[in-house]
Amino acid sequence: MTEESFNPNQNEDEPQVYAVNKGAQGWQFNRRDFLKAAGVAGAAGAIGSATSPAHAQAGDGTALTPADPPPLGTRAHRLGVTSIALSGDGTLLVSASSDQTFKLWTLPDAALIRTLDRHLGSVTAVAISEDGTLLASGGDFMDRTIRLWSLPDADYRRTLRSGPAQAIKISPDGTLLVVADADHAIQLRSLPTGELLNTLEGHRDLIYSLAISPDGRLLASGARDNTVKLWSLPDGELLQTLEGHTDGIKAVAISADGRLLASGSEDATIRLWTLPEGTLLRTINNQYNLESLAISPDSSLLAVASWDRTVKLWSLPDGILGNTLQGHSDVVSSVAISADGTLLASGSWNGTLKLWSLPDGVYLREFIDIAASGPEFEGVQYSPHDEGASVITLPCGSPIPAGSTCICNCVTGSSCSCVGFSGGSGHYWYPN
Amino acid sequence: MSMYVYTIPIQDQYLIYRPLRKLAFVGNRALGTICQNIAAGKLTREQVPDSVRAFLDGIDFFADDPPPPTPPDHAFRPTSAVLLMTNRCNLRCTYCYANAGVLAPVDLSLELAQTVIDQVAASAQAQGGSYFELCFHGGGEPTQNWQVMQQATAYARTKLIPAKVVMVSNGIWSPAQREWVLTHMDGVTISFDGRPSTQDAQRILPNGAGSSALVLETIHALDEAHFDYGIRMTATAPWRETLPADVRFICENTGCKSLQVEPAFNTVRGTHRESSEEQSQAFVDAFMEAFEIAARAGRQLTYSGARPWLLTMSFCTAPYNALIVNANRELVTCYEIASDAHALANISTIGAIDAAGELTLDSTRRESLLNRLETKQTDHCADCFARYHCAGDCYTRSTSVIDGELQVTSARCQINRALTAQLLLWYVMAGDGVWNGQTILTMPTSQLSAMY
Repeated sequence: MTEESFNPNQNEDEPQVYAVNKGAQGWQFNRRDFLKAAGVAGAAGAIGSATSPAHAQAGDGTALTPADPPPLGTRAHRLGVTSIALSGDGTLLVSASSDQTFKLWTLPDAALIRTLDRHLGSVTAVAISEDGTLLASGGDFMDRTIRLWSLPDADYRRTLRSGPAQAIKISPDGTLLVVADADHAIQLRSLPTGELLNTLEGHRDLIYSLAISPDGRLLASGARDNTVKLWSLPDGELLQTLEGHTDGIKAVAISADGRLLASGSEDATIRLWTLPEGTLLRTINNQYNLESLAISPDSSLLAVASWDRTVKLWSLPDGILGNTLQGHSDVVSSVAISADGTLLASGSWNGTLKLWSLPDGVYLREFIDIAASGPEFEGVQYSPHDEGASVITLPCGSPIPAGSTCICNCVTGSSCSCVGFSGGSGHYWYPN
Repeated sequence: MSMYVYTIPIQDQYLIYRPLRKLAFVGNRALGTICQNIAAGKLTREQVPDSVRAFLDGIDFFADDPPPPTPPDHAFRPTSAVLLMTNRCNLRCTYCYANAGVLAPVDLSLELAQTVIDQVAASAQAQGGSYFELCFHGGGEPTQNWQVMQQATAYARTKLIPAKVVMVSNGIWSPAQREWVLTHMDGVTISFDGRPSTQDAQRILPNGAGSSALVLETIHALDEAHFDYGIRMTATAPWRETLPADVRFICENTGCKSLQVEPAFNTVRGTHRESSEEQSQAFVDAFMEAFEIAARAGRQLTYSGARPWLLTMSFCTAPYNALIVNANRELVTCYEIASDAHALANISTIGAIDAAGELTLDSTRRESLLNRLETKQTDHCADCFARYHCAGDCYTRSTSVIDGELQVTSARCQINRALTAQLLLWYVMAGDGVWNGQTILTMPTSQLSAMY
C-alpha cells in the first residue's frame, strides 16, 4: 500500500466516489451519486445542518414494502437501535441508534421522513412530548449533549450540555425534561429552555431507565444498583426505594392509569408493583434478560424486548404469557406501543426496526433505509410501494439510468457482483 | 493554493486523504487524479465537472490546508517527572525489553526522587502550569521500590503546585498496596495481555506460574473503585489467533475503557526486533479485528504508531517535556532506558544527577538526540501521509543497532501506515462516506453482544 503507485497523469474513466462498508470479506466500496455524497458529507462535515439529504430522500415517497418474509439485510439503522419514541397521535416514530443518527418515520406505513445526524456519538435516547411538538435526543459519552428539536419537522432548537444521557423523559405537561446522566444522578430541566432545576442523587450505580406517571407527579428510575426509586415531581423528593431484584434494572414502565409499575431486570424477571404504595404485586419470570418494556394504554398488556430475539407479550396484571413475537435476528433492544394501542414497534441491536399490530401481534412491516441496509440487500427483489417505482431492476450490463445510483458494488462492463442473489441476475438502481 | 492530498490505494480504489484538513473519502483513480491536479494547481475549481465539483464543494475540499503543526520547543522545561524506580521485578515477561528481575538490583533513592520532583514542580510552576505530573515507570516493577514510591508521592503532594501521580505497573500488588494505590494515586496503567492463556504464557511469575489471577484481582479492585486506569497490552504472534480474543476477554471481564496494544516481535527477552512484511500485515489484520471488537464494546483500542486523530510533530513528549531519571541517576530521553545495558542508552542519556543532588544536563547530547529525531522526519517521513500522526514514530522501536550502527528500520512504518489507512477507512465508514475530523473510537456497550 503506497501512494507512489498513483499517477495523476494517467487517462481515466469517469470519476466516482464510494460509500465504505465493512462486510465479512473486508472493506466494500459501493458507488454512490456525487450529489448525494456531497449532501451527506456536507451534513456530516458541518455538524450543523440537520438533515442527511440522501437519507431524507430515501424516505420521501419511497416507502418500500418488502416481499414476505422481510428481505435479508434490510435495516433501519446501520448500527443498533437504542431507543424508540412514538408521538401521541400515533403518526410519527423516532428511532435512535448507535450509528450517531436518529430517524423520523411515518406510521403506520413506516416511511422514512428524515435522518438527523447532528450528534457526535451514539444517540442513546429519544423522547417526544405528549403534545407532539418537542423532541429530545440524548448522546453518549462521546457526544455528551441533549438536543431539542421541534416537531413535526425536527427543526433544531437547542443543545444542552448535560453529559452523557442514559435515558430521557418529558413530563406529560411538557414543562420538565428528565435525564438520567452518567454520574448516577437524575437531572430535572425546565422546558423549553433546558435550564437545570434540580439534580436527584441516590442511586449508587448507572441509571438505565426512567418512567413518569400520567399525572406527571411521580418519577420512577431503574438502575444497575438493583433498585427502583420513586421520586415526586417536580420537587424531586425521594419517596421510596423498591428492592428485590437481584441484578440491574434495565427498564421501568408505568401504566396509563398510573396504578402499576413494571420493572424489568437483568435477573430475567419483571416485577409488578402497585402505585403509589410500591407494594410488590407479582414477579414474572421472563426467562431471558431484557432491554425494554412498554405497557399498552388500556394497561392490559406488557411488551418485553428480550435477549432471546423476541418481543414477549404478558397480560396485566396477572402476568400470563400471551404471544411471543418472533422475527428479529438479534437482541430486541427497544419497544414502544402507540397511544391507541394498535401498533407496537420493536428495534434490535442489529439496526432493524419492525412494526406489529396489537393486540394480535401480527407482523406488519419493516422500517427500511436503503442507505443503512447491508450488502445482503443487494439483489433482493422488492415490490414498489406505488407508482413511480423506487427500485428498478435491470438486466446485467444495462447502462446506468440517468440520475440513478447502483446499489450493487459493481461497475458497468465489469463482472457483476450481484449475479446469483435470490432475485436473479440483475442490477438494481436506486433513482435520485 | 496550499494543500497536501494523498491518494492511497485500497483494494481497487483510492483513499483520498488530506491529513492537515482531517478529510478523507474513497474514490476511483479518476477522482484521485482530479484531487491531485487541484492540489498541484493544474485544475481550477471551475474546470472540475459539475457533479464532482458539487461533491467537493459539499465537503469544502477547495479550502486551503491549515498550517502544519509546529515542531516542539527544544528548551528543557519539564512538567513531568518520570522515575524509573528499579530494575527489580516480580514477573519474568518473555518479551521484557529491560531483562528486568535478573540483573543485580538497583533502586532509585528517595533523595533522588525528591530532587527530580523539586526540579519539575518548580519548572511547571514557573511556566504557569496548573499541575505537574509524577510518573513511576518501568525498567522493572515500580512497586518493588515500595517505600520510596510512597514517600515520593507524599513529598510531591507537599509542593505548592498540585501533583498528578500516576504509575505504570504489572498489577501484582498486595492487598495493602492495592488499598494504598486506590487512595493515593490519580491514575494507573496496568500491563496485562488478555486471556489467562496469553497472560500466563507471556507474563510469568519467577516461579514459572501464570500471573493472570493476581492481575485480574487488581483490575477488578480498580473497577470496583471506579479508578481511572488503562491497560497496556503486548501482543505476540500469532496475532490473528490471539489479539482479537484477548481484547474480547478484556472487554468482557474488565471495565477498562482505554486499551493500548503494541506488538513485540522478539521472542526472547531483550531488544526490539524488526518484523517481516508478513508479520507486520498479520498484526495489522489482528489489530483491526480487535479494534472493532473494542469499539463495539465502547472501549478505545489504540496503537501508538497510528493516530489519525492527532496532528503533531512529536511522537512522544518524553524527550521534550519529561525529566526522566533511572536508578543509576542518569537523565534519559525514553522510558525504556533503565540502564546502560539498553542498546540505545548511548544516544539517550543526556545528563545525570550527582549524589549532592546537582543536575547536569548535557545540552549537546540532548540537542543531538532531538536533531536525530527531526532529521528522521525530514529524511524518512517527508512524503508519508501519516507523517503528522506518528511524527517519526517511537525512536527506540524504530531504530536498531545493526553491526554496531544505529539504523532506522522500516517495519514499524509499514504497520503505522497500514493501520492509519485502515483507521481512516473506518472513520470514513462511520462518517457516512466522508471523514471530517471527528474522533470516532467507540460504540456503546449495547453493541457488544451483536459481535458474538
